[in-house]
Amino acid sequence: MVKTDFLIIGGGPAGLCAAIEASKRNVKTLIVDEGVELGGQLVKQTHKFFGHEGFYASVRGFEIAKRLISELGENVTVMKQTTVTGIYEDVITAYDREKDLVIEIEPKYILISVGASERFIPFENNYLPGVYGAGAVQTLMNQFKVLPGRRVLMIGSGNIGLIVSYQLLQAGAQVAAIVEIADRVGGYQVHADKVKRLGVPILLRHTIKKAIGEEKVEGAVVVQVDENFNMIPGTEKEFAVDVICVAVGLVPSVELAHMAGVKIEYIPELGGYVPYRDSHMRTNIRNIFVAGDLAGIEEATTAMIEGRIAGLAVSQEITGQNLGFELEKMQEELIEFRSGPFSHKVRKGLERFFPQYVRDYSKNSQRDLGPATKLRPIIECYENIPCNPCQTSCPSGAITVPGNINSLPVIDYSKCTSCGICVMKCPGLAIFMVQENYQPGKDLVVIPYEFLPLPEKGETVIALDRDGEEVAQAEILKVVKSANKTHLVYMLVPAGLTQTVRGFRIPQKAHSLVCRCEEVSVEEIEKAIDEGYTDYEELRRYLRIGMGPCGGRTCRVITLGILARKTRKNIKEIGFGTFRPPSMPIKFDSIIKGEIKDEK
Amino acid sequence: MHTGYDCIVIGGGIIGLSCAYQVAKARKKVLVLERGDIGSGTSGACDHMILLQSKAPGLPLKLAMSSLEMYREWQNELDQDIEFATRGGMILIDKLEHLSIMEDFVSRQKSIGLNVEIVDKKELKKRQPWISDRVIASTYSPDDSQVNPFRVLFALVKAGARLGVEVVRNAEVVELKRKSEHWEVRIRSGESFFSQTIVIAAGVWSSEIAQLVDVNLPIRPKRGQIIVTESIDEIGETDAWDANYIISKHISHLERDELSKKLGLGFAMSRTHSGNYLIGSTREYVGFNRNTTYEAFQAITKRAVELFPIFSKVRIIRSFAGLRPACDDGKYIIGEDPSNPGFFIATGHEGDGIALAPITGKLISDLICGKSPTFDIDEISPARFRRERVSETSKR
Repeated sequence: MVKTDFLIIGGGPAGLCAAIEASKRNVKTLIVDEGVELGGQLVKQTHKFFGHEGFYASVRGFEIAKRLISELGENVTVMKQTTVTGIYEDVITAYDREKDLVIEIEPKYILISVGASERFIPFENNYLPGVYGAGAVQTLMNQFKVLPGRRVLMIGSGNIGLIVSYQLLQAGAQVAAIVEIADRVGGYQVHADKVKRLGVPILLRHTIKKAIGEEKVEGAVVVQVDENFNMIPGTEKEFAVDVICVAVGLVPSVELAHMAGVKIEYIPELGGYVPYRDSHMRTNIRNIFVAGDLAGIEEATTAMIEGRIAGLAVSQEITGQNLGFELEKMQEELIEFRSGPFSHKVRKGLERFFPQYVRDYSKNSQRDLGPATKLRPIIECYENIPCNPCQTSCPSGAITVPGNINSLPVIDYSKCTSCGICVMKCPGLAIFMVQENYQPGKDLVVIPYEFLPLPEKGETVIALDRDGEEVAQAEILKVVKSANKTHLVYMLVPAGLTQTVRGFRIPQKAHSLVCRCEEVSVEEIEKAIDEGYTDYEELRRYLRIGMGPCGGRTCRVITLGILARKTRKNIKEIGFGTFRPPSMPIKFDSIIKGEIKDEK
Repeated sequence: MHTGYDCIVIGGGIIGLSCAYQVAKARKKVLVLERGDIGSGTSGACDHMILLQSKAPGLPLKLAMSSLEMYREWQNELDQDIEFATRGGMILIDKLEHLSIMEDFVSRQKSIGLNVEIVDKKELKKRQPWISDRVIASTYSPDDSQVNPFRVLFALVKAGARLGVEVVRNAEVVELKRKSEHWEVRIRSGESFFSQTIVIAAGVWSSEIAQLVDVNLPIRPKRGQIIVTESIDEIGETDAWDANYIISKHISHLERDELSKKLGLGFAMSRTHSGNYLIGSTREYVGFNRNTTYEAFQAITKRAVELFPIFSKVRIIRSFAGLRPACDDGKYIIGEDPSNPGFFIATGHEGDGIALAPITGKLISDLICGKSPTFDIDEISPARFRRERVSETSKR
């Protein structure tokens, strides 16, 4: 039996923040977490977070997890790879996967911060291997460094669908399309813009009809829907993909709360069935609190604030300290964050439990594009989302997010020093820099870039517009590497394109293989011939043409053709080399078995 | 007519190109005449080993050790990746009667300074986890190395070219004449070249060339067949041979069964840079026949699985045969012919050509430049055939 004052079930952003507040006040705390490492979904998040600096804005999710873990005090005990399996009247049971045993825990207070599980949708053949939830794709790709496939169809354009699409592209996969059943993108526009300018189409009013494949996913059929979300026959489109990634939303994981006797209500705005709680995150059971996605699907920043509130509330009860001021401050943070239009649904849902308040925010975006002669930021941030690192990172105070954090940023170009820090910091990668007529006939565009390899100075790249369409060739002027991995690429584009170019692509080197076993290209063969290797056998020894499993079945003739063309000889005059047995790969086993049979 | 060279090397294999490169390094004007193309003979149909352990304790081992050092230097000097690697080597012993022979062989090699030992089954398993239980012991040397002979050939051509070495392909030598102060070499096309010195590095074709000046070289081609597997993961820490390999090479009368005797089969297994395993090999006297035979293919396959059962599911993608220039007395021929001043011979390496190419070129270069070589090479000098003839005559 493990006894503790404060049991936290789930060490994600909410649970970790509650533990930090409790440990600051010397409350004996135990975190029980299922994962291999603490942090919940944070450990899989490689993008920079929105919000303000007090809650780690512009820091990447996995880095936030590290920082939170480092803030845990000595009185916090952690049990990893352990799942709470039951909350009984007298005891709580947890299964330790590593030790393979069930332990009993007896806490005074409990915070359930187990988060959510993924919503799934039924479609034909959705049981085929290759159909993944977005969380699984992130776990494989970002936590365990395994790419689930090469070409992906994303279902859902909420923030998760958009972010995971972007991360798949960063990891080297292709995203064939993002399919969205509604008539508008579900997530933030800045996230959508990031994938659009990489050429990923977002198909609105579309849904998946079926997965194609026998043993595994080999493709998908997507179909258009009418205003009632019914499929429109005859509008089917087929995509050749090996992964279908489903990102259609989250459902609060209420099972433990329900077992504990917490009242569960159905509030669609909060994600469906959610536990009742008050503004201090306390449920109808006196010593049980909830926080994070379990208390209503939202995002990591509000989960962290809710976690802090729960941690403070529990600490107040256990220590008898008055933490009213700290609690009030956190409540104010929640109001600050939830004042924007994206929190409308959450506010509406929470109204069912207690009153909601909002602060005013500004909807005026920057209209002026600034003086053409100066290198200056262009902020393409048109949605009221709670975020302000552009303001707080600007060393010269040129950028303002007036009043509430949901306001749109504006810039005073006369104060701007062209340093580029806002471009590097913006979590939505929505700030670019431009300067017209940098050189005669050339404009300068600076792009925030998070892909490898980085282009090199002087390299020619293909400039892309906001939809990922090729618009011109551009020359890389310089690359400024940043510690936060959002690098700045300065490139010269033809004059007149500063408001068009928003991305670029490094052109693939033309690579036509002659020998596909040993991967020898036309260019390599031509170069070798130019170096004086003009005999097939000599080329074979020099380049390994035809030395793979096929024995030169296809490459020999092509190579002889290239030789004839380059040396201006008739192909008949060129020796075609020797053929060596076996003419197809044969197992050692097959040879030995054949010999034994022969002897009989 | 062509203007004169300081040295004409006949043979564009690894020995000839090493000689050409190193003679050119001594500021000589060098021409290489190759009857086919680069590596079209033995150097293009061999394995890739710089194997020290197989060398007889004595001059061959000393030469091989020094050659290995030169390869290490060549990695930088030639300015090309020659895929040099030191994986170590093990000679597997699966017959009790071979153990004492190998113990004796190893102790004599050790006395010359080779880092080699006999290891027991436990140690063997550690280094070769897939080895069959039939293997009772093994030798182990950490120094056995490998190189990609094709890479070395082309690296030598390029490095030679930088020093002014010229290479003429499809240049079969049909006439060799000693003029007053120089040699005239005529090729099949009728062209003639002139040079102060000649180096015969024509491998199995060397006796044919030497015949042109009435020099008898007792070189006979010995066919070696090798199979190539698909590219696979490493199956052990080192490359491996069996004791039969040493025995068929040095004490062939000990071979028992008819097939092994006929094929001269000695197991040799090495992993190339690209992940293919080369498994050989035979030692057969079949004239200039370069075909492969299914009999040998089967025998090699069987032996490989006998020693490493894990091979049974691996696929074989190719087989090939090369002719090894074997001298009747089993020794290399490196030196100047006593009755033909300026006529040098570098051949008879049999299966040691890749390993000994650097040192052979060095010895030839030293001899041509009138420097005394770093080794006493009397026992491998072509003069030994003259002496024999003299002693035969005197006996009569």
